[in-house]
Amino acid sequence: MSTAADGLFNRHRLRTFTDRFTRAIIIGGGIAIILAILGMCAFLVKEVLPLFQSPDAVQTQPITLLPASGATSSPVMVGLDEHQELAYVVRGESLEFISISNKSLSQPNSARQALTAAGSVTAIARALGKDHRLALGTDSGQIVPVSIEFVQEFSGETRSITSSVTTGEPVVVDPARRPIRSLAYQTTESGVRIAAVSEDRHLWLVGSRTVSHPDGTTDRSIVRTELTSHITGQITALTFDSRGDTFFVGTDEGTVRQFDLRDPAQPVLAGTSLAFEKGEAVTALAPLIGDRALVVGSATGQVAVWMPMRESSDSNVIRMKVVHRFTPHAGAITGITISQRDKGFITADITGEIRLHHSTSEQTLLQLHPQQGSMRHVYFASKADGIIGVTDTNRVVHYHIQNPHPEITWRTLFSPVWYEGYSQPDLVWQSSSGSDDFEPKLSLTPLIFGTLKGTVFALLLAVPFALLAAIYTAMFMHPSLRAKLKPTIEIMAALPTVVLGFLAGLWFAPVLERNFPAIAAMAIVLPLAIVVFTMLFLALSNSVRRRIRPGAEALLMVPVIIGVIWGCIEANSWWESILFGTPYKAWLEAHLGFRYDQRNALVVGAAMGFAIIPIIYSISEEALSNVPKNLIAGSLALGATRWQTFAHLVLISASPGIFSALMIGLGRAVGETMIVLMATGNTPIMDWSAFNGFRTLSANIAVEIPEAPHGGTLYRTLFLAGLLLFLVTFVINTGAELIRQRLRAKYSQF
Amino acid sequence: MLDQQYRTITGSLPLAVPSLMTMQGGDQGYSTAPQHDHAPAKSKLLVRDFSFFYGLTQALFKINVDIPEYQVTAFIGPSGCGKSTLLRCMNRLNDLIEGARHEGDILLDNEDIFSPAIDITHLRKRVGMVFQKSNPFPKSIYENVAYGPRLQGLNQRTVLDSVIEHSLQGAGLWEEVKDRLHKSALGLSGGQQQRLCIARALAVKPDVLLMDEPCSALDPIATGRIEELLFALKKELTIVIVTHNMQQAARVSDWTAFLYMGQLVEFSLTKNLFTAPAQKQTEDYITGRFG
Repeated sequence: MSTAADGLFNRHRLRTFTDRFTRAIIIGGGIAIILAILGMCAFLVKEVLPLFQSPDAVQTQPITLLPASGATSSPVMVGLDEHQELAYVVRGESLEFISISNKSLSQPNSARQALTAAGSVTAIARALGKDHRLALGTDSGQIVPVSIEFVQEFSGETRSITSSVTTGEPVVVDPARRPIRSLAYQTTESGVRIAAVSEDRHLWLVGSRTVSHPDGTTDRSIVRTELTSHITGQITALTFDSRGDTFFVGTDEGTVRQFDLRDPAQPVLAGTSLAFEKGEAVTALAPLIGDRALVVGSATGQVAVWMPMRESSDSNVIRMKVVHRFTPHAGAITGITISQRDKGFITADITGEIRLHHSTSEQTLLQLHPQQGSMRHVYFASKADGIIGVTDTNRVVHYHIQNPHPEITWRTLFSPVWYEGYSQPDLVWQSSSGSDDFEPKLSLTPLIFGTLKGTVFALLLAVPFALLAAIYTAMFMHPSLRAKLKPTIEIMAALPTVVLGFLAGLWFAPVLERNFPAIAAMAIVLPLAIVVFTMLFLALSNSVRRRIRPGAEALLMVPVIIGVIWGCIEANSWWESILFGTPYKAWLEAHLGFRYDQRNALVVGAAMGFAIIPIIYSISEEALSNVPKNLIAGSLALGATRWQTFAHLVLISASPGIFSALMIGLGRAVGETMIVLMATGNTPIMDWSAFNGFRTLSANIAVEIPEAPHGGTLYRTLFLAGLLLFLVTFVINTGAELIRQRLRAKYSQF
Repeated sequence: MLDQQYRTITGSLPLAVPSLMTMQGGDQGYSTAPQHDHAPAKSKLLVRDFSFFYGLTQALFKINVDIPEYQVTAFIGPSGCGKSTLLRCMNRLNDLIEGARHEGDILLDNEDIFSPAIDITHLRKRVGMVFQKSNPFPKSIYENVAYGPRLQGLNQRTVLDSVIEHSLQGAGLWEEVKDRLHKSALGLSGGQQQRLCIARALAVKPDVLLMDEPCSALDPIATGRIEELLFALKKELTIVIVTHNMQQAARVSDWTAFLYMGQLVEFSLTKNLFTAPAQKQTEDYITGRFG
């Protein structure tokens, strides 16, 4: 008795245990999957978020410079080494250094030296670029070039920065030896360019040319030109571009004049523009890196970026045009310094405020208020990670800047952006190029467009084939044939997409290019042939027809289809002359304006269509054949034909299944990578033409991630593209599931 | 003794039926005696030497039955005896089955329904069917009934509305669903669904209504309502009903055919078959010795 009870008891316990164990495994598995997906999502978000973080500025404790020997009105200029450990200040003819530690600035007593004895310094200019090449203008009409170099020395693990200063021979700019009032200076490969305004607004341009002789000796010739007659009003700002080919002059009348200096001996006035509508005086000018845009600051605090534009598409007249505008400062702009890394720049004003802007994304990233007096000069560290400025109260302020992704905003990612060298705002993806001053253009819109285009073309080809095949198989085909056909189509899904992409790109694309007229003809001839054949078959007498197994008639169609395809391809050149009259590429271009690329949307549509046909076919066929037989019998018993039964009943009952088939196909097409990567040509253009390529989000990630430096803007943007794909797929799947549930509640009986 | 039993059977109606009858109004009355409103009965369907094969298996052996017009004919017999097969041959629903073939004829109004000249959809419009398991379409009540008329190309709203009201009234469902015609038919109860299927079949105005065990999945009350319906319906059409339930056959039918192992054992007036069967097999079956 007791043993029997124990046995029962044990069995019960085992069953309960198994029950709980299985339950735990299933729940655990489900939770693990959700966690894995959430984890992926969190990782993507973590990689993407820094793109949108606003920049950070940490101020170092400012110091007051030791009293200068010269007059307080002497010109001032500051600079920094690239590691932000040593800064220099030029006041008049003296140069002093400031060390920067983590928290504070300090000025060693000994660190002051005289730069020149050629006279008292009345103007200072610095050449554009990473080097610290300065020019000092004196009260005797001369220019003294000064070069400051920072040298890194390592003693063990610690790095120390030392400086070396070279002073060049003075150059006479104003033959009348009038004092220099303002100055622009640029060193180029072939020599130097100096522009100087001397007392009584005389504008001088001095260029040197180094000519190499075949015997190895070089000659340096100096050309001096006076440009005073070209200018009206007081000159308030001067700058060269970094190549020294263009020279800009701003005046208190609000004009900016542009001189072409490609031949230094003969400067040409290339254009005069009014900088701001109200004619405010131009107080600062600086060309952005790449020399294609000019930042202009005004006496009223306006800041704008200009670009040279053709007046119209067929004109050669180039005019400066305002492209980007920034929130105005409260007072006159006293200095603009550009970033050596990107299209960023800093502006300083008379109230002592410093702002950091990014030209292309039209953002003012930082507004710094050191409250140390009016800003006389600012410098932007060469890695764009530090700002140093000097005020009229001889205070030196310094900031460390954290600003890794200045060019990214939601607007630059998704809306048209006016890039340098473009005639209008545009959506462009172009992440890299050979030159240093290249600006990455990271608009995701062309990629989203490409993804959509690929999906649309794939679905256009796949949906009709897959659905019609599923309907035929489920409703009309002989069961024994169906049993063979269905697995065959499902095997198509097992083909790796890299193979499909390879075939599409390297085999199908050239075949399509060679035989395009034939394939265009097939689109008409093939359906016609099928209809004609069907009518012929129906015209056959019953006795002949009865020999063919019902439901297997489709097999008779196979030779017809193969014959038509073969015939069309054999007659390719005939079709070309019939359909187009000329080579078809010329015809397409002349009549439709389409350029035929070998790897185009048709190729991708066919290959990706091939990849998603099995999914759509398989699921919708399943849905159609699962419609309860007694419903079909009910419909037939009411006198419906097979076609009516299908159209009025089966299709509706199977709609949830067919809908999810389409959605799964769609999701697959959106995320598909290898086929689009290999068969599209990956050109990120926005054009619905079937004859050119595109680039999808997924292929873009595959193409670019190996070249994207870890943590860089491109890297994070690619992660953003991944997150976007993730979200799109998530939304499609969730939406599809919700709609499917609703359809099922409405139409499904069992 | 059999006469006694017949009375018992026909007397043992589901309890709720009388009250339902009073609700409906008594003059259409529930009567145990076969009605002969259209007497003398003319044959609507003639089954002549009809054999039927599923591939190599023969399901029906040389059946001869005359189905009288405006009467209810019941097919009874144990499972697998071929009664449903015979029924489904009458609207050629068995055509769908792979490997099915027949010998002999079935004549509807003296026309061979297997003749190549016959339009099968037209045949099925004339010979409606109600299935064992109710099979409303996943559509609204209205659209379920409108399905048949729409197939015939009837789309005029007003005509359709009246056809639907008429059909639902014919199936005794109108009062219950008139306020929710556009709700899903799948929300109806089992008995209502089956009456909806009857209404759907009536909507195409058939001459003959085939019913394949229409009440086997229903409770006694729902069964009672459908049986009651048959008495009203047979005034306008010919009904052939397959049933497992001998009491039901005795209650509702005018004529009864007893099939056994694919053979027609006996076919006569229900009253006669249940009270004085000519065959021993019939007697054994109706007295419950086998089946």
